[in-house]
Amino acid sequence: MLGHRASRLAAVAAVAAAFFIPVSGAPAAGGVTAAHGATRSALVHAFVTQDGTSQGIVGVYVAGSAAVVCQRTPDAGLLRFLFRHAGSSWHYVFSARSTAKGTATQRRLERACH
Amino acid sequence: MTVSRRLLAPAAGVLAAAAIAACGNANASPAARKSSSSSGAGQTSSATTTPSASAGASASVSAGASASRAPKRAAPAYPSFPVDRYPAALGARWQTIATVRGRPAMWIAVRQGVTVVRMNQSLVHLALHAGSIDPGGTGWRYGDAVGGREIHHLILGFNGGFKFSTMSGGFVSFGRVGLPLSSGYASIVTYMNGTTQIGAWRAGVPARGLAIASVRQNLHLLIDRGVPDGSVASCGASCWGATLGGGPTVARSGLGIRTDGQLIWAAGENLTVSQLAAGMTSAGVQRAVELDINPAWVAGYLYVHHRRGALTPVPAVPGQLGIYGHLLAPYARDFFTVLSN
Repeated sequence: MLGHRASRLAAVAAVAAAFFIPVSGAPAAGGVTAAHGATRSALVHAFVTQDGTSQGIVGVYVAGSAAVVCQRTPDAGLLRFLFRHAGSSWHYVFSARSTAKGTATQRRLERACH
Repeated sequence: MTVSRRLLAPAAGVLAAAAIAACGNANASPAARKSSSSSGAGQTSSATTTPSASAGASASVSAGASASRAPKRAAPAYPSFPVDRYPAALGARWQTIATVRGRPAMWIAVRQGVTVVRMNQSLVHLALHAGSIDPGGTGWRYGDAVGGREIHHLILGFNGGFKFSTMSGGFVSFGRVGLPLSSGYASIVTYMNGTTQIGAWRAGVPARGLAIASVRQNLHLLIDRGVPDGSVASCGASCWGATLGGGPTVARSGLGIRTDGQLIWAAGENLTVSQLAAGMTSAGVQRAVELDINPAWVAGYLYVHHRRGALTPVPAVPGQLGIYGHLLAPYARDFFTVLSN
């Protein structure tokens, strides 16, 4: 009985962690992870603040202080918008249609968009 | 137009399906009659007297009228079946992209790296649409998607001005105010007779004695008397809008008018304000309004009409990200359509 209750508590804790841990997700190659929760929200907000639209966003990934917002557009296909974290907020760096632009970390992020 | 809306049902593909999805609106075509144009804004329009919009008006986006192809001049009884091909290569030379009743009505070219579309106001007219968010609400004469009879006259659709939250100018459509107009602001004024003028509000437009159908304002004039505003080279975001990443080179668009009354819509994916203005002046623009900027919002579509009323939207600006629904499904922002008279 006690063991059953403990497992239920563990499950609740796991669900709570999924909501409240800022950055989580299945790790991808090179430390790139899907952004969730507050991190994802902050990145989407930064993207919209930069006069983008949240429509068509198909993925948000982070790697350390870098991140990418992946957006599928009606006419130009998949685009990658790179951000960097500085001063407690995310800042737009550049956008790319391919996966060959920027630093090694940025290229890994670009490849996470698919 | 005599084609039943029911005939729009057969889809010719994904894009045509998107077109069909928008057929719910019952927008009426605006008055397309043109009387002699006013010169209230210094305009000497070529639009004199043309037949009213009526059954039989046909718009054909030919998109392929290059030198290698003989112009399709045969009087096209509705429905018309244009060449469904965008020009293979855009250059400085004007290429016909749309004909109305067999007469060239619209042309496209690239000037100074800017894609420019020229419109003959004696054959086409503008319609200002209200978006579902900007300005929001329902019941607009031209709502958040192309629909109803308008779809049979549709040649081109393109983005409107800045977001309303930036308070960069007013929006009025058929007497209804989406955002109040402000004196001195660059204004695209369409009259009930179907003509459009561009100028500074209360300092050039509106013309006296002409009833107004719609007004869209955005910032101050980008070009006046054929000369770009002095701030285009020196003033960035604070004058011409905040850009993606703060850089000067982003997607930009504008609408201008020439001395002969023809309208010029100009756009590009990577333009400074100076480049946009230079492209427009090289197309003969005398007065112009900068429209929306940044890649998410700058887009235009030419609409190829097929048998049985199906449409295929063709992106008008190389590299544009595009708009979901191609303006044929509800869109959040305001936009313009160009319709055959």
